[in-house]
Amino acid sequence: MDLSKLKFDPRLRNGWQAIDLGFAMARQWWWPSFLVWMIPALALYALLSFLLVDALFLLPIIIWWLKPLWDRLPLMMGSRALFGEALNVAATLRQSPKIFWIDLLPSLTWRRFSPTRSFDLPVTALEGLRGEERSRRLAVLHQNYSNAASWLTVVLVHVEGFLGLGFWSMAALFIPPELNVSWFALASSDGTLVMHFSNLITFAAMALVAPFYTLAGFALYICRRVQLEGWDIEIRFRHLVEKHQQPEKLAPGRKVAAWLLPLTVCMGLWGQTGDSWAQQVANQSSLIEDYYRQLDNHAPAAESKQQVMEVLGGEDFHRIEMEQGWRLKRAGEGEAGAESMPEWLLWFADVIDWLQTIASPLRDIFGGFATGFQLLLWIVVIALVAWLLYRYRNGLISLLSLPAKRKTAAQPDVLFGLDIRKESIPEDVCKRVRQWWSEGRHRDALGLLYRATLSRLVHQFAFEFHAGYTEQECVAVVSRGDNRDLSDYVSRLTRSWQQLAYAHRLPEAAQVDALCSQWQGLFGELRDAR
Amino acid sequence: MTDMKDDAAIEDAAIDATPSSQAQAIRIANQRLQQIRERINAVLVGQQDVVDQVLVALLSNGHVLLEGIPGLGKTLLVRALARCFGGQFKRIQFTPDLMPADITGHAMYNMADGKFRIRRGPVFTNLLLADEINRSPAKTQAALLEAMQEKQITIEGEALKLTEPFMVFATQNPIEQEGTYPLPEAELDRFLLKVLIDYPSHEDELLLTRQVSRAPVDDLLAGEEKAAIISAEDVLRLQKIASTITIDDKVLDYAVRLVRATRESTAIVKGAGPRASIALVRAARANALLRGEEFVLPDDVKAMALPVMRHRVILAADMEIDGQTADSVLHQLLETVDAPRQ
Repeated sequence: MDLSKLKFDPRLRNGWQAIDLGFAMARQWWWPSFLVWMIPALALYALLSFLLVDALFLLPIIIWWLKPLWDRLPLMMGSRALFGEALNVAATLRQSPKIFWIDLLPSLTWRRFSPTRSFDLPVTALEGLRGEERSRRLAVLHQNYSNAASWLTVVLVHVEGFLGLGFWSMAALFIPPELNVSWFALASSDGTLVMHFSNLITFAAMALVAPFYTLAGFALYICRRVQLEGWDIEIRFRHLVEKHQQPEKLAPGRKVAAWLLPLTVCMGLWGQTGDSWAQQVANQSSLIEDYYRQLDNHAPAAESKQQVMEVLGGEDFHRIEMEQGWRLKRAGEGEAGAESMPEWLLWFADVIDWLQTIASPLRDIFGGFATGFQLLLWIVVIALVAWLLYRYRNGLISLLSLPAKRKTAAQPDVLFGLDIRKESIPEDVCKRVRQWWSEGRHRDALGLLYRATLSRLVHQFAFEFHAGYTEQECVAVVSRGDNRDLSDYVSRLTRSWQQLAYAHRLPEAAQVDALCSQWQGLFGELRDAR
Repeated sequence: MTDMKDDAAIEDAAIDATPSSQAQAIRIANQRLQQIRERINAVLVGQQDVVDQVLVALLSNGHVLLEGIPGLGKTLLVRALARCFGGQFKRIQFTPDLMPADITGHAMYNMADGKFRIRRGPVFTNLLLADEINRSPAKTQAALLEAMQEKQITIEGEALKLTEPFMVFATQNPIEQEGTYPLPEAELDRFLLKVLIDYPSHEDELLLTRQVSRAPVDDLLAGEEKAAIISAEDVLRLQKIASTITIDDKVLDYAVRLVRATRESTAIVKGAGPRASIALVRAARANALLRGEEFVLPDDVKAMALPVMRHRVILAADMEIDGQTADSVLHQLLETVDAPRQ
């Protein structure tokens, strides 16, 4: 990371200014960041349009859900562009599979609905932090700007919605009023064309807002790091260093000395003929020291010091500001002030002090209350979610197309005034029917057979009959089931029963006998099987 | 027609009610009815239920109130029915200025012989189509009352019998209510059935359009001179046969319970009267005959409950505000009344 290449002025900014910076970046790099967001998303969109022909409504939901992935590419590109690298859409796209894999599961599940998603994304995607480390880092980052980041999400969600509405309204404006289109019917219809149009609008709204969202979150992140790591100060220092390196080159006092030293040493060694070696060396040393002294006198150290002292003693460092306001004054502090204070004010201060001491346990109690209340709210929220899930369980089940458990309604004991409890039906129905038939109790015999059949239909086959159903309607209910033999049998039995009951006409004995044997076959066997 | 006349003996036997002869009479009667039904259905495409209900009314010797928007073949239905039994058919267009005498007829002084002569009105026919009956004021509507109930018309104190079978088909337009006079309840009660005619299904309309557009004029009966299937006397015989259909006490009880349930329901301000019970049983018998059965099933009663009762009940105001109709309320009521067993 070369801070000298930063493309913006790294000064301290508040959250809104940071978001402004992000929007400026998005405008500056609009096309590349828009394209890197849109191209992979559009590819998936096109693929899904073919795959999900029957469930087109799922399309925008899927694209929307995968937004944390799409957002990574503009972020990646922005992070590079910020340090002066060239924008390269193709290169970023080539890296996309690798980028998408980073922390894929959490991003798409429990972190999907985080309101500070764009602010947190750089920590995941750029720093590559995970788990505990990531949360620690986020805790530090969130001390500032997290509020602005949440508002950024809220506002842009609305902007996205308004854009969608705007597209719809624009389309509506292009339709001549003479056509008299029923908007309600159109919106509620599941016409494929309307669905495609609606999906496209949603997609376009998402694609247009996404670069702003991502880069604004990134700008928040960068500004937070400027705050934390003091980039602004570092860059100032760098500038200072650069500034001071230039004059040093032009004033070569010490460098000249460094050159002179070996030079004089060499000269001394070379010309060692007249004087002794030691004297020569001593002469040369004094010569150097003299030179240094000379240089020191030249250097403006003393002068600088004096200048510094002057500045420190100047007006700027002795500015006196008057600030007025009310403050609590502790007893015993500033005796002189206490003396001038009236008695009642001192007493009042004591009361306030006393109140504060007794308030501290209260604060604990209320703190406990607050925690309890928070807990209660969470319970309410969880209960509400559970209730909603329960309330719309059928819709959810059908949405997930899980095979719903067949509802077993409470089975009635009495139907159409007939006792159809299992206990009320004799053990061997056919034997009893035949016996009664031979005794001449025809109506009772056939009545029993009909009653036993109804009982079995309700208890064994779980058919549901309403009290208002006639015999013929019961037959219709049975024939709607897929058991052909059963519906045939019920139809024939009902016919015989109707003739006896309503036409007062006895069926043939053989017919009753046949009905009995078939009853055994149909219901007896099935009962054994169960 | 001749077949049926030959069957007259069998029909008489049916009334004597020996089981085998009755069964045979019912079988033959049912055959004729099926022929009539087929012929009318061939002309009036896609309205099988309406045709069945009209035949039920004919067999029960009752009158029919037809409700449906114009252009669904109400006139065609009545004309086709009249042709099936060689009966007379007349049509009166009810207008606000129609006078009772325009319907019943009047006495006219003949200058030549110095006597009053009675000129009979259009009501003297077998099938009378009273088109848009609610366009006339109550006075004119009431002129039909005597004809419908007593089957006679009194002109100048002289009671004149109407020709049997006599049946009134009154039509109403459910959409256009402005400038209409709703039928009084007493008159509504005189109608055995109120039959609703709705648009035919797509397939039926396709068939209908194909048939009609092939003919040179827009009239399916135009130029078609098919022989009557039965005679007017046969209709009376069929009515007699229908009245002999067996009805079990339980089924009778079911019919009465259904009608009484309308009086106890909170959704209905004014329930159906005893005339509804009678009408329901008569219609159920006719329905059984139409199905070719010798006995009435609870299903017959249930099938006829709606057409018999829908014009005889008045819904509570809140039900009407809720958008409920007499049919939907009666449907719910039918589910709550226990069907008979044993």
